[in-house]
Amino acid sequence: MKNILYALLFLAVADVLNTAGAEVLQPKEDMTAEQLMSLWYDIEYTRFARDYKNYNTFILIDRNGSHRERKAFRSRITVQRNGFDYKDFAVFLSPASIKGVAMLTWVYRDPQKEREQWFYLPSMKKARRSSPAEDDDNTMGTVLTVEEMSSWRPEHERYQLLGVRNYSGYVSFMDGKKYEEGRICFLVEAFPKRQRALHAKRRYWLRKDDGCCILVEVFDHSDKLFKTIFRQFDKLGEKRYPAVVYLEAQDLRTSEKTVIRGDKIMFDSGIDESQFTIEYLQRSQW
Amino acid sequence: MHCFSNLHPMEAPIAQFKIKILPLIFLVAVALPPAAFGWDNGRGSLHWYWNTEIGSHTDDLSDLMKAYNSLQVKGTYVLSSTISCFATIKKFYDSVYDIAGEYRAGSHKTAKDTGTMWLREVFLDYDHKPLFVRIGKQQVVWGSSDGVRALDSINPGDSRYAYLDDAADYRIPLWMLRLEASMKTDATLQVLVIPDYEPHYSADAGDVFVFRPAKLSAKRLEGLPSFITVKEKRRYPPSSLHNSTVALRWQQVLEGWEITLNYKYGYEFYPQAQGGFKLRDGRIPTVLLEKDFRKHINIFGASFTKAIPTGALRGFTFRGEFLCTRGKPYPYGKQGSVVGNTSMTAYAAILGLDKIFFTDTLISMQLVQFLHPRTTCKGQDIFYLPTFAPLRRSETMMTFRVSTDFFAERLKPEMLVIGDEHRDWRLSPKISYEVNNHLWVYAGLHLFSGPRDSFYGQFKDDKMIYVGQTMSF
Repeated sequence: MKNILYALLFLAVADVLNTAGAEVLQPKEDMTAEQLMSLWYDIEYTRFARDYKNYNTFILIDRNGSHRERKAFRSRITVQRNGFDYKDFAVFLSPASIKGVAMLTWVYRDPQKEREQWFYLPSMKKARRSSPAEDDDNTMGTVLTVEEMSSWRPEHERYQLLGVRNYSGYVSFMDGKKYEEGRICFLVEAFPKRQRALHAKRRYWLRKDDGCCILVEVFDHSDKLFKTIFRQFDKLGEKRYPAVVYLEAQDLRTSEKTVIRGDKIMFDSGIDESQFTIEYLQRSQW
Repeated sequence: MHCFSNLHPMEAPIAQFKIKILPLIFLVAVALPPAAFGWDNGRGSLHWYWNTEIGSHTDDLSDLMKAYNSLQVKGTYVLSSTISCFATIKKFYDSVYDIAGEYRAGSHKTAKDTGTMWLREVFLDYDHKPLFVRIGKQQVVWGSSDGVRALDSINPGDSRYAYLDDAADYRIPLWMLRLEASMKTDATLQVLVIPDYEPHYSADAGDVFVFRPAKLSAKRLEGLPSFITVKEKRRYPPSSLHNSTVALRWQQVLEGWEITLNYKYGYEFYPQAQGGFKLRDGRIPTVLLEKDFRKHINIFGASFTKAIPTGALRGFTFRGEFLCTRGKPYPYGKQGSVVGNTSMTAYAAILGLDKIFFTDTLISMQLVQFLHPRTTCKGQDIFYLPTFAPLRRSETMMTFRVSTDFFAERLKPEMLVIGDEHRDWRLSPKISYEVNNHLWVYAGLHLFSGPRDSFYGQFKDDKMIYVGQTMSF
């Protein structure tokens, strides 16, 4: 009986902690490359927060400069039990041609375990389980791969800390302004563990003061830079959680570009886990 | 006086076509600025979809099969944190009957919506954990298969385009109450109460995609002497709550296995049809066709999906569904001529496999099997419902779908192949291109081959090449 009470108490405390969210860890001078990347993983997937919601706008720019725009809603809940790391739900809100297309993803804590995915397609009015897209596939019409958008885990790469550097600044292709000039960053080089990856390495520029990754540089097998991913952050909500509010990515080979703008971001809004189920997906109206 | 009487005979159909289609184009064009633009303000949204599709026979491009225009409006509104509503209406007109002489004698059933079919869906949602209620006209989809309907048995089908259109378009929505209770995360009991009844809806003889039973029936009636009158009598289930179809589904995810158990008790969507010769009022010789839609069936089903997360099969997704229909009605007779109706327990099983290869190419395969314990009744053949060919003890089909994308998901080629062991097959390649945020254009083929009394072989003269556009706001 006593054990049961302890167990219940533990579950209640765990639930409260889970609901309340956790502290955002800060980088330290003596951290290893792996520790720094683990910290970045927590920030990228907002794992310090119990839940996360984001209304965002994607701008897809092709080599001729023509723009396409998509608006989407994305929510995520940090689960941390039953083997799950987090569950993620995303739905397109516009344009009308793809409105209602939704995707539910469950990610396991075990990095070796493939994520589970379901799609809702308005043309079928049906939630359908799907094979997860491969890591190197460009996703949602962007220049970002599935791995760069959603499936990346620190365990997928080997890391080497190149040191602390002064970042020379990023010139936006949208407004021509220079951002983050002179920012002191940890520079980490990452090599994919998986065979036949389409890239040879990535370089992560992590801000020294908060661990946010402002730039990812992606290199091909001839050590040539072929993609850059720049992020801007803001501290949001009561707990001043760091969040990506703007992203610019460009493929230097094809001249295609992607902008993702966070229009409205919310943390710890009390979203229920039932909104990350197949039933919820099947209740889609569109 | 007929307004086309001064025109050359060949010009009249074209003029009629313009008369039918131009007001719609004009309406859209005029309405666009500013009223037709969709809106989305977070609480509600309204969007418009205008689809045009032109189809021709592959062996003679001037021989039109489809000149289709549809206007669809979809809207949703959130009334409170627990209540929201959704509606979609769709009006269409297929001008092929005005243009192509080949189909002028048809029933024109494909030409436009009948009854309230233009009101595709209208429902109100109440969502308050653990309860979810959807009440109104809607579609409910069961099962895990693609392109082949087995467990997807809640809504009847509109086969006027031979099920070549999207599933959301060929399902006929029904008025119903959908009630769901989630006992715990990832476990839900669904209860459906469906007082509404609609039979399957299909084209009649002389239309574009006509199933063989309709052709056989028309041929027999044509052979009758002209002094014989033909009457059709339809018996539908009574519309009352007491006569509602009831369906249940248990759905749960267990150790990565998504499983469902399904049950439905209701009316079959196929009629039991019979014809008889009578002397009405003692004098007029009449052939009376009776179509009785009141046959009750019991459906027991189950489905599963499982994605393999680790090991050598990592990335593969397996799917399956199983169906047992008790009391399913079948006609029997000789050489497509019905002499009576029988019923039996029929079985269906579908196993599917999906995997993404070469980074972004989705390959999906299915093995489909329909099993029938009997193939004869009273010494005569029991008929396969879509063709009235003699039923086989087992029908085995394979489906294969491949799809990919290029240019940042702007260009999307795909291909579907369905075939069976008797060389009956369909091949449907399609390519779509996103011109801009509001416009998709597409083109494709529907090729059919097989014996004339097989599912796809019956359409072997209806091979179609098509182009289309969908504009949305």
